[in-house]
Amino acid sequence: MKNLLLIFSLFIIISCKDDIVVITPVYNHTHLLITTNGFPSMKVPNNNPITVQGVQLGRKLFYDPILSGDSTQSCSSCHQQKHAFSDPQKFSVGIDGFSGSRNASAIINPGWLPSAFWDGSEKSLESQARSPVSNPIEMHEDWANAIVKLKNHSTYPADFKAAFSEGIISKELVTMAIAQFERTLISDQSKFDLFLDGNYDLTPLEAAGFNLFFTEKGECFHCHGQPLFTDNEFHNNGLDAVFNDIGYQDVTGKTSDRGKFRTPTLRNVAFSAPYMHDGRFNTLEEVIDFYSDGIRTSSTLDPLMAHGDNSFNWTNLEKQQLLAFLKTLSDTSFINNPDFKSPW
Amino acid sequence: MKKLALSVLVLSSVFFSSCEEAEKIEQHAHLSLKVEHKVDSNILAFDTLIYVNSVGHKYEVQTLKYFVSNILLHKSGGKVITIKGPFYIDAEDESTFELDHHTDLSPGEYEKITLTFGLDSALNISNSLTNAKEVGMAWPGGGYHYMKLEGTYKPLDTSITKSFLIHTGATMGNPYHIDIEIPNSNFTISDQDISIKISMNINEWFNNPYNYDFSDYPTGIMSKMDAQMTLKTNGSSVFTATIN
Repeated sequence: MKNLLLIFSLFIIISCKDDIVVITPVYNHTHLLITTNGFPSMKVPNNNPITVQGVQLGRKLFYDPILSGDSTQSCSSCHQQKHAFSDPQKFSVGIDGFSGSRNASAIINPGWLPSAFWDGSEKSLESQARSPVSNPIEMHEDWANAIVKLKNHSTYPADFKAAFSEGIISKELVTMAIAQFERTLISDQSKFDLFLDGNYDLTPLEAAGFNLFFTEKGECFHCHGQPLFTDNEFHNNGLDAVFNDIGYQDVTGKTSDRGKFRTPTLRNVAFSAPYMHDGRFNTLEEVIDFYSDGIRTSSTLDPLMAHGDNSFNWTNLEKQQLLAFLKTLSDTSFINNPDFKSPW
Repeated sequence: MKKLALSVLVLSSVFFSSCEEAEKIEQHAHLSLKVEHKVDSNILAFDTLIYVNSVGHKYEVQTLKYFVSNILLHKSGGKVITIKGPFYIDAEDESTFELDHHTDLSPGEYEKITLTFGLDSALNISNSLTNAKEVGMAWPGGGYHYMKLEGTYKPLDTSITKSFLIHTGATMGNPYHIDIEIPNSNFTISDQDISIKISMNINEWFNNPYNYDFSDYPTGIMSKMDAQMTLKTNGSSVFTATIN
């Protein structure tokens, strides 16, 4: 009987002893592809997990001109690895000789983009990959025709079957494979990353630039913070007082978004000239001069830009320091990575 | 022996009674806990220069992002229920407003809700958060911003619109998170689901008890401990609770 009492008492104590109940809320957690130096977890669509076969197929398609109307251009024509998967031309020229009005974005760590294009008009890498193929001023191919070409190819039918197992070739599967390859385009081995790992000492000029960059005197980090060096948000950074291109407003319809564009990453920025959504600046020196002394006021100018008289007024030395720091974000292993090169 | 048997009976009935009660409540008393953002009595509207603070500055808000953590529901008798966080909230993104929607509460009187505005020293650790939006709150030198509150205002002496940038965090290594007891946050649980809204009044950051003057601190406050201290003091009254 004593034992029985003991058991009952113990049961009650175990049941009721906790004064603090910890409850974890439900999260929709994401796939984690990589975590280096504080990289956030990458969101990979549930219906398009990254596979070896899918990435291999996406890489072939990315570099294959078969997707263009006259089989002369591929994704890589305007997204060149040596330029951090950007186009050194101000505006890319399509197969018919036409060009658009925005600079081709660099493809660096795209797996962390919540949407694609300068104005965020596509909500995934998969949907983004659809438009250049059929766009009349870009690759100008009919998707149905592109699929026929792929079906008649000597290796693609087997490649698609290996990657997706459905045994079909479709526009959706083409873009899913390209998106898989793009998500592997990860840059996290710059000189700055080596510094964070304790494997590189910044020079005095780079260190001074680092301090400027990450304090409010430079005010770079609130939009270009670590580790992605972009906040992936939309800002009017003061390029214009009157807008030829209203940017994000075209997507949201809100006048408060007039002249806003996605913050580009500064990783590999030394490789990805020209700069800004319209490629108006050819050099980083021009960009730094603009932020220092050239910001234009408008109703949607970001508060982070509008300091007092709208100028940061950096000295020439400070500009050199910032430039030196920006160059530490260059990742030569990224632009030379053999896994990212053409497989053809 | 009879006494012993009686003791078992009493203990058994207490045990069974408490378990029965818990089962009933798990089915019927769910907590919904959300935040909202106001300027005085009106829901915050972004990008409109319509608000006025006690200094007399007309202002608009373009960005409001912050962390809350250590949310505790204090029950009469000493039991404390922790809603695990921290929670990143973007006042322009309603999907971030929900702090909790599934906690089962046992019946009784709850005396108050307390929370930490920002992240205390145990939570404010670089690279401890992995969600991209949370990572975007990184604070140079270590940890995270507690809050980014950014906008523009009209100075009293000129018609030129200027910026205000309120970035709070562990300034110069000193913590400025705020432990807040939310006023009038007592509630009773019977068998009804309960919905609690925690409302932030933006003007409280600027008005009470100290005037936060944009002309004194328009921008660049991340290393200014006096500005951080004013905001910490004013911040203790920014939240109120509405219980339904």
